[in-house]
Amino acid sequence: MPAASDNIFVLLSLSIGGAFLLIVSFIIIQVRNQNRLLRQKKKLDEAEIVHQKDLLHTVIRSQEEDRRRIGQNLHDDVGSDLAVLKMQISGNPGIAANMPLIERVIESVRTISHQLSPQMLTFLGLYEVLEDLCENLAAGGQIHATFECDEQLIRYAWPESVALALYRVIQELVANTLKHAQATRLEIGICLEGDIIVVNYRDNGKGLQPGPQKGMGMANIVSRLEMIGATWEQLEEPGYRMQIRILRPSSPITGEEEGKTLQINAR
Amino acid sequence: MKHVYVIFIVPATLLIPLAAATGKSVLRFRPLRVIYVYLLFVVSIEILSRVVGARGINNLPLLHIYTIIEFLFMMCFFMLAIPNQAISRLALWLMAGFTLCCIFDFSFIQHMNQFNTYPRTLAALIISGFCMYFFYTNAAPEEEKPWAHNPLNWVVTGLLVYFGSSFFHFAFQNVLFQKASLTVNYFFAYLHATLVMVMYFFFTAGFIYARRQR
Repeated sequence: MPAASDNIFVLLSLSIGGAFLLIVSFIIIQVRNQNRLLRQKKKLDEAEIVHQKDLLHTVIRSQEEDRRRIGQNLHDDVGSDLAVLKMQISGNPGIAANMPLIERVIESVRTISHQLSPQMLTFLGLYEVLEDLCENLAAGGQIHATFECDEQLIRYAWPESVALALYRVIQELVANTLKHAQATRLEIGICLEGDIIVVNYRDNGKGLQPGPQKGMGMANIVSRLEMIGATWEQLEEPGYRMQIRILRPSSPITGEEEGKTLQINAR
Repeated sequence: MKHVYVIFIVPATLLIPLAAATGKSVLRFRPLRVIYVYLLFVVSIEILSRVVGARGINNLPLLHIYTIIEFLFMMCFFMLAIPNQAISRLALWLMAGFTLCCIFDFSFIQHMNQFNTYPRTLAALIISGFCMYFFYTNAAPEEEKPWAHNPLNWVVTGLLVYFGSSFFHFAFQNVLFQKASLTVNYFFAYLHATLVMVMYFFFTAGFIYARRQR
């Protein structure tokens, strides 16, 4: 066997260079792989969020449909039966003493059916419905509720889906105020700021707790606002813990414009 | 002056990661704290070896001590970087076993005035293995951030590049010293110094990313 004439310089250089290249390749593959996994995870998360939103929107739509149906049935069936009963009682002096009770029941059914299916929105618009809501709250004596609206906005033609969403949002906020805020004063207002319409909701209660909200109420509010292309934010103002501002172009609104951007800020 | 690159420039680059690591925001990461102390240790060994060398004394015995302490630092780092009880136990055993191996090596196998090629190669192999395992466990990270944003990725990359690439150099240091020319020996000394500097730059990147994560 001939004597080995290997050059240690070449061999060692190749070994070091080879090891270095292998390591660098390994690191590059690792980085690329990890970043690709991250991108895939982000995509999946985004798809999941979109799916959850769609699901919530569907739930809200079907909930609204159910409310409308139940409200309609209450109004048309139970309401008309009660009206017949009232007529019969009024014609029978023996049981006429029950008349106040029947009238209270009729009034309750009417209120519940309107809350479930605010048909007034279609006939009277958002302004009248909100005014009615505040009057009912004030009549309850639990809270001092006021409603203000710029004159030029009283007959503003809100698209039905937008008006319904806003009404539900305000309804939810009122429910939160009554249940949790321990507020003594509540204000709802619609005004014009420049070329945008601002809907304000504020109370002097405890305000929203910082961090993620536990109940479904806030999720429903956010979802409803998203459905009409709106956003919201919580701001603080002395004396008030919560204020919602709904901003919308003041040009006349048609049905096609329902998808237009609507920005909502909450203080 | 001859060999400015190896004697001054590369050791001076040690100051870059040390400067980048200064501040609480970096040192709150416990594995990075180990690397920081390791760098301080490297500085002190550099100074000591220069002083000993300047007096005409062979400073290779320092390398034997350095190898043991460096390995202990690396194991401490991986015990903190890889949160796994089995790995911690293994690292503890390796720390004890490797120290005994080194003592056995310079007592009976390789003289203190020779390169400690056996333990140094073994250390490079073990450290590279730990680096690989670190990347294996971090292949699908829980946290949703890019690879570069994890400071430990940079530090481990630096360790893998240095110890993995220097593996053959460590193994053949005595053979080189005895059989190759002085020029060849200088060439590999320069190559080794460059790999050390690359490792310091990776450490610096890790410290900078740790600083950004306030």
